[in-house]
Amino acid sequence: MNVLLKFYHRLGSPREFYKISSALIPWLGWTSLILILLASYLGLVVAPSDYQQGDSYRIIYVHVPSAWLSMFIYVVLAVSAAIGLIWRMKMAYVIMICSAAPGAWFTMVALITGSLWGKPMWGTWWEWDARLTSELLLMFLYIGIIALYNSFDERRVAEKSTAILAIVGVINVPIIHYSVEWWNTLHQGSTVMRADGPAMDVRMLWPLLIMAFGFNLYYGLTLMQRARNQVLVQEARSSWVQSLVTEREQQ
Amino acid sequence: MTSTLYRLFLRDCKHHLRKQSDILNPLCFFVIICSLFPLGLSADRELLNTIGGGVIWVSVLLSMMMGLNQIFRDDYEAGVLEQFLFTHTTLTQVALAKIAAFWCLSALPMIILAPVMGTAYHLNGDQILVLMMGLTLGTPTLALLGSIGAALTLNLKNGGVLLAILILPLFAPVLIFGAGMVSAVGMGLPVNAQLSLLGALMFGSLSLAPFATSFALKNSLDY
Amino acid sequence: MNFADFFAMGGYAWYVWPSWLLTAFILLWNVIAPQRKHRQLLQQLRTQTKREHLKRARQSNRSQSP
Repeated sequence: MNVLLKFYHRLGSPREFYKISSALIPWLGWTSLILILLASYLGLVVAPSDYQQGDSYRIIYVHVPSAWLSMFIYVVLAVSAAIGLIWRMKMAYVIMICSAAPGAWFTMVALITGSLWGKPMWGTWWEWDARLTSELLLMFLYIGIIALYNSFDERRVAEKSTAILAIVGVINVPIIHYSVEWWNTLHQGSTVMRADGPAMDVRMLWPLLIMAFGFNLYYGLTLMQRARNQVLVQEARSSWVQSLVTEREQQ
Repeated sequence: MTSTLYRLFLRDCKHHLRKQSDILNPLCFFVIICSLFPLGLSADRELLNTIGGGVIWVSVLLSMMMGLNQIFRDDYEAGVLEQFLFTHTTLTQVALAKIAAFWCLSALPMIILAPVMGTAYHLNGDQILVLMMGLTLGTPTLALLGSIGAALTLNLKNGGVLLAILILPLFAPVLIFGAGMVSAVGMGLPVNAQLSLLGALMFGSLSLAPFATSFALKNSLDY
Repeated sequence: MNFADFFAMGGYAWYVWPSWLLTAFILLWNVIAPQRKHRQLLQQLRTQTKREHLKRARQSNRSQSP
């Protein structure tokens, strides 16, 4: 516990965060790369064809992990917004802001691959089905967050405003999701998240889980990269950044 | 507490009534959007009846968006909002009074006009009744959620479009239940569930949104 | 392992491969772009610091020489 607390406090200081993230980035990069490549091999080559959907189901390995991640990132965003508002932690806002762009990208991947999967399966590029529509609304929420943050001149106000919006959004996400589901349901039922165990062949399931894990690490990677940049921008005037920069030159 | 709220509410109503364009413009906007849809689609009775509920709901939504941008702006620009920070009146009370005044002067006229629009879309009596009930329960939620967005974008020059981007996705549930109710009645289905859900959304946002709004206002005032 | 069959994806090649390629492209871009920005930022900060050092040096020179 003590170790964890210490780690938490270290992460709270921008300087320590810069050090830790810089050390983590290569590790996250290589492990996520290996996991994603392994899952790609297992998913594209080893896993058998689906008896109903043929090989088209292989889109699942990029579609579902990005859809999961798009929702997970929104939760991370809102939680860090709350931490920022309650404990006034500088780094929480950095995590919040730097999560928005990857979240929007993953939402976009989920939407486009969903559309590419829908064409052969449902015969149309777009269907106003519950999950696609709530994913679309999630995309709008991400766009709103990014647009709001970028429209302020003063970072302090921007951070707080964005945090409030993120929290309002996260309260609304389940309501939006259930209302849309109630409105229209065509999407195939969830095949992994079921109480009686996944309704999937194990050889099909493993690549998906590995891919999801790889995507999560990848999110960690891109988040650390972005957060590190943000810290540099915010702390540009501080002595540690200046000495960091001059140190680099001497090497 | 109540009398403070009431006085604030009356003050805001008077303020809006003095600037008549504040009330009339969104209302005209509402009527015009509703009239444009048949021109763009067709005057087919069946079609108009099917889309009527949705079209009227979306028009209400958009017209309310038009006014939301102004809800705190005049007081903000006159510096009145900042003065409230130094009085015993909390910003939550100010926000609640302003939202109520905004609802009375923008949503209420539209609810009253809704039967006219409904008739133009060949909605039957039950549908019009349900439309009005839905609007009565749903528009407070829209005003409450919208006030958060208005408070967040208060000191931005290009606030209007941004406000729409922030808030319109959050309006989706209200739209779904409200418009869904009108078509459900058209098919002879019960609408208890939608009514309860709209009511729940209204009370939920009534208990949370004013605090979020006042917090956002404080932040926008950089206090 | 027949490569032609593998690329044909049972007739769904036009749906499967674009999805995978697009995902790969976006994932790569989201790593490359911040990395590039990081390098640019360091560069920018370095020139900025150097300029300030020079300025300070010049000012102290000026104040020393009457």
